[in-house]
Amino acid sequence: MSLYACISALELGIIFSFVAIGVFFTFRVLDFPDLTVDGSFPLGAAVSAVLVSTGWNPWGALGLSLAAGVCAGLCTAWLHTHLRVVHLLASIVTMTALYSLNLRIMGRPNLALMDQETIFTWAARAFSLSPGSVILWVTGMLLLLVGTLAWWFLRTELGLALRASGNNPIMARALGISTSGMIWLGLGISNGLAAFAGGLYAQAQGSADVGMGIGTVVAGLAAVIIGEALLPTRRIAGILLRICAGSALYRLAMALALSLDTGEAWYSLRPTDLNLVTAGLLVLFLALSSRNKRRPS
Amino acid sequence: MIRLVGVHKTFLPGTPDARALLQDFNLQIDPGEFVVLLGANGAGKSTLFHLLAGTETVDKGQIWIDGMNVTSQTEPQRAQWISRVFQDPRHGSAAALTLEENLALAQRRGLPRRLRGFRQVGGGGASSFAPALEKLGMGLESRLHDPMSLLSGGQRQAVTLLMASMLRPKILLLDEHTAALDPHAETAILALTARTIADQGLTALMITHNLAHALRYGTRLLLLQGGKIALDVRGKEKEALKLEELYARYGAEERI
Repeated sequence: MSLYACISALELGIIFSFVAIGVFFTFRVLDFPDLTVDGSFPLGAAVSAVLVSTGWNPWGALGLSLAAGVCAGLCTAWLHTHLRVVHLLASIVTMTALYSLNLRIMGRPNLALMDQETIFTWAARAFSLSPGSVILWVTGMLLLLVGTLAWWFLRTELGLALRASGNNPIMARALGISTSGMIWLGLGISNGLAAFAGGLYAQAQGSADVGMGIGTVVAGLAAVIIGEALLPTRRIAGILLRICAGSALYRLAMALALSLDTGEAWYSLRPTDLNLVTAGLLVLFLALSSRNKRRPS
Repeated sequence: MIRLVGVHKTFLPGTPDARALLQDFNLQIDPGEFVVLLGANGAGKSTLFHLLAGTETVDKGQIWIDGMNVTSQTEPQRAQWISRVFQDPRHGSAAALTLEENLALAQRRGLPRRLRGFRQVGGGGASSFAPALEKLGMGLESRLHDPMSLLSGGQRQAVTLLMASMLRPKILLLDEHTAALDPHAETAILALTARTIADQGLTALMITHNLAHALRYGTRLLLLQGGKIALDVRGKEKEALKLEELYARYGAEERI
C-alpha cells in the first residue's frame, strides 16, 4: 500500500470520525438506531458543494451543511416523538425524503468543484501548508475541536441527562428529564455532525454525489464497534478517542483490502466490494465484542 | 398535600375491553402522612400512582398537589414535586452510569439541566455524596465511580431511595419497592424508608401486598377494592387493626 493511499485513508478516517461520533450519540448514548445519517451526510455534501460552487465563503457553507443536518435530525425526532413512528422507520422515512431533496439541492446527480475556494485552499494559503498535508491538518484540528466539545458536553448536566434518558428512560422521566426533548437534542447533534462530515468530504474531494450516503451509518457504526473492541473503557475521553481510532483503522483496513493485488481472478476485490468487506468486518467485531462482554441491563 | 377530586379513569375507552378503574374517586392526604396502600391486583393502586405521577392522565376530575392544580402537568413537570421508587430495582437508576452520576442526576430532579459540569452541582462533587451514602451503612461511599449495574438489588433500591429524597419531594411514591428483594434486604430497605420519611417529615404513599408491613408501617392505611376506598384508618384506629381482620376485609370482594 502506497503512502498516498495511506494518507487518503487517514483523511477519510478523520472525516468519518465526525460521523462515528454522531452515530455514537444516537446508537450508544441515546439508544436510538438512527439511519438518517445516510441522508444527512450527502445533504451536508450537497449544501457545501452547491454553495462553494457559487462562490460562497467555504466556512459559511460548512456551517450551513451542519445546520441542514441538524434540521434533518430534528425531522426524524419529530416523526418519532410527535407522530409516534417507530424510531428505525422514522429515520428511514427521513433518509428516503433526503435522497430526493439532495437531488433538488444539487440540481443533478453529481457536482464537481473546479477551482473554487474551499476551506482547504484557504487554509493552505493562510498557514502555508502543502497541498498534500492540508486536508489532514484541517480535518484533524476540527476533529480535535469537535471531540473536545463532545467530551465537555457529555459531562455537563445536560449531557448527563441525555445519557440517562438513553440508558433508562423510566428513571429519566421520573427525574424530570423530558426524554422526547433528549431525542431531539441527540438526533440534532448526530445528524449535524454527519452533515458537517459530508460538507468536509465534498470540499476535500471536490465533489458531491447523490449516492455517496449509502453505507454512512454502517461506516460510523463500524468505527464505534472497532473502537469498543480496541479499548475497553468507561471514560468519555477514552470512548471518543477509540471511536476516532476505530474510524482510522477501518479506513486503513479498507485501503489495504483494495490494494491487495490479486489480478483479474473472480475473487479479487474491487472497489464495489467495499460494502461487503464492511459488513464482514462489522460481523467480525460484533462477534468479538459480544464474546468479551455481557452488556448489563 | 394531595387532593383528588372526582377522578375518572377508564382503560381502553370505547372498546369492548373498556374497564373503568376509577370512578368519581376522591381522596385527601394531609402533609406528613405516610399512607400505606393495600388492595388486590386490579384494585386501582397502580393506576392511582400513575395518575399522581403523571404517567397516565385522568379522563375527568382534578389532581391537586400542595394547593396547585397539576392535572394537566406532564410527568417530567411533576418530577419537581414527586419522587418515586419502583418495584423493579433496575428502574430507579441508570445501570450504565456510575453511582456518582446517578446521584448528580437526582440532585437536579425537576430542575433545568444546565450546560455546566455535573460535578459542579453539589459544589464538592463526589465527596458531597459520601456522607449520605455512609449513612446507608453499605460501604457505597467508596464505590462512587462504579457503574450502578455492579450493585445488588438491595443496594440499588437504597440508592434510589436516597436519590428520591435528595431534594425534599412534596410526595414520595413507593410502588412495592421491596417486592423484588430478599428478606434481609427487604427489612433493611423498609427500615431505611421509615427512617427517611420520619427524618424529613415526608408525605409518602406506599403500595404493598404484605399485610404485616401495612400494619407496622405508616400513619394511615387505605384499602382499595374495585377502584373504591373500602377501608381508611389512621392513628389509634390503625394501630388497633389486627392482621386477621385486615386479611378478612382484604379478600371480601375477591372471594367467589
